[in-house]
Amino acid sequence: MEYLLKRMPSAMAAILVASFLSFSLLYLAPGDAAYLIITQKLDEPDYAAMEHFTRKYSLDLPLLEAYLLWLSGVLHGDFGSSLRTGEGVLQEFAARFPATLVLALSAMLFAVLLGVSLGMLSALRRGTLWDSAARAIASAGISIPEFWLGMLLILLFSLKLGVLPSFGYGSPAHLIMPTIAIALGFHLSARIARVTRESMLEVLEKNYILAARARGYSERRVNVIHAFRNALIPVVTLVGMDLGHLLSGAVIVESIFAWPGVGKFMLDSLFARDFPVVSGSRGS
Amino acid sequence: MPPRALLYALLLAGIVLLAGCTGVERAEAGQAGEQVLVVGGAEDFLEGEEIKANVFEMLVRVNERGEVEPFLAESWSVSGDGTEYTFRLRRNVTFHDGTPWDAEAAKWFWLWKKNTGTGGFVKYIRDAEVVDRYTVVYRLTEPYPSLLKDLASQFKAEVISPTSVEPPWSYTGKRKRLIGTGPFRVEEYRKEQLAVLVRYDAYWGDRPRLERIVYRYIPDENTRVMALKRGEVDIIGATEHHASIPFERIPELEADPGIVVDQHSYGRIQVVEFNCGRGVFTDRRVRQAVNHAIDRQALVEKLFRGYGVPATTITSPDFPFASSLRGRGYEYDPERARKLLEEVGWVDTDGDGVREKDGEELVVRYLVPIGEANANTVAVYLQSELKKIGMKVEVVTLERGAAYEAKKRGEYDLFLHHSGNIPWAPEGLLLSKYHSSSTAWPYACHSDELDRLIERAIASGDNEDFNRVYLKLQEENVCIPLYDIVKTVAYNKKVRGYVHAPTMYEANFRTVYIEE
Repeated sequence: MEYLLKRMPSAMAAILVASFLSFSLLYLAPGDAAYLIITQKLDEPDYAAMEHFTRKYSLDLPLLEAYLLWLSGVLHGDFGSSLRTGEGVLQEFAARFPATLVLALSAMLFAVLLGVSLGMLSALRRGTLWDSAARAIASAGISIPEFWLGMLLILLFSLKLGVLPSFGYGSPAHLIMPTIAIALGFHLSARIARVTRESMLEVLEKNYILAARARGYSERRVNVIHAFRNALIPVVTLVGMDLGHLLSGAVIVESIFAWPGVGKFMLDSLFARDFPVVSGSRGS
Repeated sequence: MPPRALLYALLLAGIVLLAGCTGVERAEAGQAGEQVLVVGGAEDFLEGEEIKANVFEMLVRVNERGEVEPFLAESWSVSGDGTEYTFRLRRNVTFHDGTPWDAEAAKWFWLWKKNTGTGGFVKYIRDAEVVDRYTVVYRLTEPYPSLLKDLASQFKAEVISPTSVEPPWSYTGKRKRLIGTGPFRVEEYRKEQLAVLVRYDAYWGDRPRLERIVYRYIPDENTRVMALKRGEVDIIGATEHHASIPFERIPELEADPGIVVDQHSYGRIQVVEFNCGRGVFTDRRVRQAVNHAIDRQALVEKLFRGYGVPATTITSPDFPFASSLRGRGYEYDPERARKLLEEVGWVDTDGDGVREKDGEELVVRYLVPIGEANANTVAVYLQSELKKIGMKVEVVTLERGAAYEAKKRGEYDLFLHHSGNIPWAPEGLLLSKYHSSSTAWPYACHSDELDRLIERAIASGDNEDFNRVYLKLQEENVCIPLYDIVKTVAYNKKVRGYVHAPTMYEANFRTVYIEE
């Protein structure tokens, strides 16, 4: 508790600085939200509409004034409205977050199962063909880009085999390809496999493993209870960090599979210079 | 992770999964034999404009020649000073919730626009008056010649029910519901997933044969193509006004016996704008040289395998306002191009293949905004064509926002754009690009003479005057026309009766039916 209290001020300061940075980066970037948003609707600029838009959303304010206006809103619990959709920023996120959460958890689950199995296999069968094969799969996993993988998956499962829907959201079947695309394409399982392997190899050298063996425990018990549980510590750290990343959305995979998550929404907002959305998500 | 924690994670994932999975299939499932069209679209239903043509209608509409025709208004008259428009409304029209379309609803619409709208005509709105049940007068603060064109625009003036705002009938109400007068009503909308449109049985016009339209949002262009091939959607490319099917995938779609590829020209031409305010292209002869240096026939054949039509005039001569351009296209004549450059003083003195003048090399900066169709291949082609006449092209690709800023500051010699099409052209295009008051294109070609011609044409609205403007623009070589960006629609063979709408801003499925 005391620790938390001590950390609070610096955390607040960090959030404040981060929110100011993301707000000003977007505010100062070339490009005019009024133009970008209005021409997105109809690709010809309508100057009267742009003027109106600029006034309505106070886009002509100087940076500091605009930021303070936004900040005071946030402090009162109002994250403002998206310039692009006119909806509240908080509602926009709330509407998309479940989809992102489902995909992130499912991809992580798959990545952990695959990565840990591969890593264990290669550590326990070190130096054998199994090890080389598992490591080869892991290296391949690190070099496959997700957009390419996504297309290949659709080609295989939807067009050739005809077993999975090629896009959409709703049923467990829709979840399978995006899950694989993120787990492999985001290099999640490949990295988990590598960390698991290294960590296992390290732990297996430890004295307590030797001691456990000396006590005559079965090889299975030594590996699973003694070695595996301890080896998982760096893996859990990695999974935690990656999960945080995944929760901010997976732009490309979401686009390819028409998955209604936060990633594509953020990118669209970024291109439209929709700074209430972009700042809100970072500051919150 | 200890096994127990893993179990918890699994459980949690399972719960979230179940919670997140509501029955999409239910929304789409039609009964056997039901007439259902599944559309694959690049925009979310609310963000897209084209698909909404099935739900919302306007007071007037334009035909394929850009002429204004009756729609929810049967006829209209304009007062002598151009500030009073009297509309006689179509009878027996109701909104999807049963609210009648009458003079009261039309008056509310005008005043609601005044308070909440952003369209071009909005700032000229003064007031409205109900004359009788089906006659309404719209008053303007000053004459605005483009009013009818604006009122024909889905984006600017789709008519919504006074009951669709909160509170109902409020002039300042926020739009909360999707209630229009069109042949289909919105039954369900899920953000960034789908919209289900159901036939509105009390529709005033011809009853469509389709009973249901399911609009599926698929942002990725390649996924849309694959979804069509697999039969998950029935039609793609219809609900975007830009070329949303990649040209390079057209042969593959055409080879598929279950798919029909249907192309239509809207006279929208891909052009490259010159910077006439600064740099080498301030001299008309240099611009002309470039226009003579490009083999557009070869461009279409080499880059698009023959899809697309080469364009040599700055807009399509099929438009009545630009028919004077017929037979006046720029000819491919690289010899003439070289002569013109030499005339201006650009000569290759050091023999490196690039011309010089006063110690400066003939190098131009070609700005391409990200996301323009076929932009990269076209850029490379331009580079190679202009190299042949001793001009070096540096291609700069920028994200849209940044490209727009660079354009306003004139930091380009060439800029990829398009020629516009109805209903925005000619008035909107001429004013916002080639009139000197333009804020988006301060470095496009401008002159006092052009300003006068444009102002006169817009004031008179006469095609003869517009033709004079376009002829002048063509002579001035204000841009490099390249090819006609044909709209490409691809659909399953079972989809019958698809007709291209008069403008590329609507996707009209009124005439479509399904025949298995």
